Amino acid sequence: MISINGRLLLTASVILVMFFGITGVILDRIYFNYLEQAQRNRLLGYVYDVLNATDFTPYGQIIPPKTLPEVRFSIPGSGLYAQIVQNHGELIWKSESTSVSIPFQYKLRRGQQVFGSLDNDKGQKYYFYSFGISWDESTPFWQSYTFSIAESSDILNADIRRFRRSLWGSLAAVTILLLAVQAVILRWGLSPLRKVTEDLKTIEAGNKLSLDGTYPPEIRRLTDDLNALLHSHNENLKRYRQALGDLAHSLKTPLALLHNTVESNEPEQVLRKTIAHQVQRMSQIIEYQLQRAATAGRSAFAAPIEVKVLVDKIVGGLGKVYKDKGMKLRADIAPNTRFFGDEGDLMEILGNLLDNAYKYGRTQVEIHASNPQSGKTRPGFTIIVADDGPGIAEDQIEQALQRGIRMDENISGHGIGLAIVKDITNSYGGKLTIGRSHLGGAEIKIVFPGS
Amino acid sequence: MRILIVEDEAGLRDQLQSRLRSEGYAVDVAASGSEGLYLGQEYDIDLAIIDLGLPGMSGIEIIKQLRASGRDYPIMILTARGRWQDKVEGLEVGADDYMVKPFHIEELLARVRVLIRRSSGITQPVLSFGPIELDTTTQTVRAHGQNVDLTAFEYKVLEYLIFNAGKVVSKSELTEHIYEQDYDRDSNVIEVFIRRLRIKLDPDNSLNVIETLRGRGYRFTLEQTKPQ
Repeated sequence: MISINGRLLLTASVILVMFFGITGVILDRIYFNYLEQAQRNRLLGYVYDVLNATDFTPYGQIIPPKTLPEVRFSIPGSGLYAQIVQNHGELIWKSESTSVSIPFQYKLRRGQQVFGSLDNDKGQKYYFYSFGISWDESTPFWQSYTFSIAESSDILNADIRRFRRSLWGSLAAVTILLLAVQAVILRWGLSPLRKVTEDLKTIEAGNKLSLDGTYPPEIRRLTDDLNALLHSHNENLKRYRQALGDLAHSLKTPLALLHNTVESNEPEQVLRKTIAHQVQRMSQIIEYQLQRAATAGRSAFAAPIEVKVLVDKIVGGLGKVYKDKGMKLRADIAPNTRFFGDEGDLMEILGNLLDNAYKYGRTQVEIHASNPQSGKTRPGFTIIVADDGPGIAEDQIEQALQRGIRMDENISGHGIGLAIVKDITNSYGGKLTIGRSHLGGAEIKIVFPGS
Repeated sequence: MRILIVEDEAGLRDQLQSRLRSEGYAVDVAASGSEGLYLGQEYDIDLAIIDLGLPGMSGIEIIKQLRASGRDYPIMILTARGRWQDKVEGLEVGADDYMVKPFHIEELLARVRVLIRRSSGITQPVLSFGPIELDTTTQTVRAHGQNVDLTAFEYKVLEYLIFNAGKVVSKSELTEHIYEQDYDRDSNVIEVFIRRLRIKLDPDNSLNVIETLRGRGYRFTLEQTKPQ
């Protein structure tokens, strides 16, 4: 995979090179056309020069030029040649410089002008200009002549070569300069990304806990989310460690008790009772700490969970388990009620609360769920589960919530469900209250704040 | 009553098997998912106890396939994971109850009794048939207000007949539900159980509690009455 820097550099370079390439070709073409036009004008000038130097007898006889203002017409092989041809094909005159044969045009009508390039038999290239002339067609002696000038293309070629050299040279120099500037700009533009990468490396190495630099707004959202993720990751780690530590420590007390019991001289019945009691306690401790470690807790990225779907699932299951009781359930869940958190956590909360309600309730269970404060990005969430069972006495509430936590006390009885629910609620910054329901039994209310 | 246990931990499996046997159940065991599925589909099972965390085929998969192939006997799941997600998933695919490890075996037995009774369409834990009363919770039988002393096997035979009261139960069906797969099925033993039950329940043979239909099987004849 090509890096972003590489991609940008590549695209910008291609565009730059294309731009200057095309510009160069266009300039080249324009200049070449200009040079050809100049050549044509120059040749026409020579034609006039030759015409000027040419005289005619009153009978229309031509007197070829003796001297010409341009010296090169007198130097053999100079590259500038002139000739006059009668339209019957007879060569009337050619300049002294003419040392090569040039296939000039002739038989041009009066006033006809032709400009072009031609190659002679030696492969040399020439530009030529031919002009058709005739004198006084009213006399019976009139004649038609073709005046032609040819100039070697070497001059124009040398000119265009010089031009091309300086054109492409300067374009290449500008291109290279711009490429370099662009590379620098890209480096600067992408430097925040590189900084994030560097910072992440530092975090990986364990030297930092979060991305603490200042970043441009385009990636701040990303770095903020990354920080939230790192934070929850660290929190999880902390919780695992804590849960593991708590687990080990809290198992020590029952283990010590068992140890002492084995070495004591208690009668068998007492031994059995103590062992059974402590084993029960240990399994509660393990269950509680396992649940605690499994709790996901509040997270910035939690997708909303449709509460009704989960409630239906759990109620379906519990309906089977408590089939004999024939419980009546009233589920009052506001449409579209959602919970922003971990599905497993919500399942745990609902499962434990509803299970207790089905277990302790006599004939009826009620569940309410809604999203108050729905104006916020993450609305709050409230659940109330009520039953018509015996309820939880005021002086037992504390105990019910502490099961599995306070290991220094001998707590008998089943169920650490409420303690687990309370723990999960806390991890979301929520509040759990236990009261008496209008049905007569227990009512558990949980309120999660919005954010 | 015939119970299938699918559990890969040998210690727990053996403990459950011997405990359920001593309660008079016929117990088949499987240590792997595929074996459990095979037994669950091939044998006439009254209840299955399936561990969710099996190697190879998972407990959830077994339950799905059993239910898909039309087996509708109650299924109890055992799980080491106490998370509700696991429990609910198990119940959703077709299990009827769950136990989270570690559990009290007494509680498991009580739930097994409830599940079997419920699957027979009986809603009360105590069933009365005139002078005869069957308590499925304590697994005791009273006749004319007196406790009848039955062995676990005798109780299971009677319970099976009562759960199918009014229907003719063939000898082979009875053997199928009372004995395990490798047991030597001597049908004479059933006859012996039936004779002993008749004597214990109805010594003067005035009620004709269990009727013999020649060549077809047995039938529990008494009508259910409201418990006092």
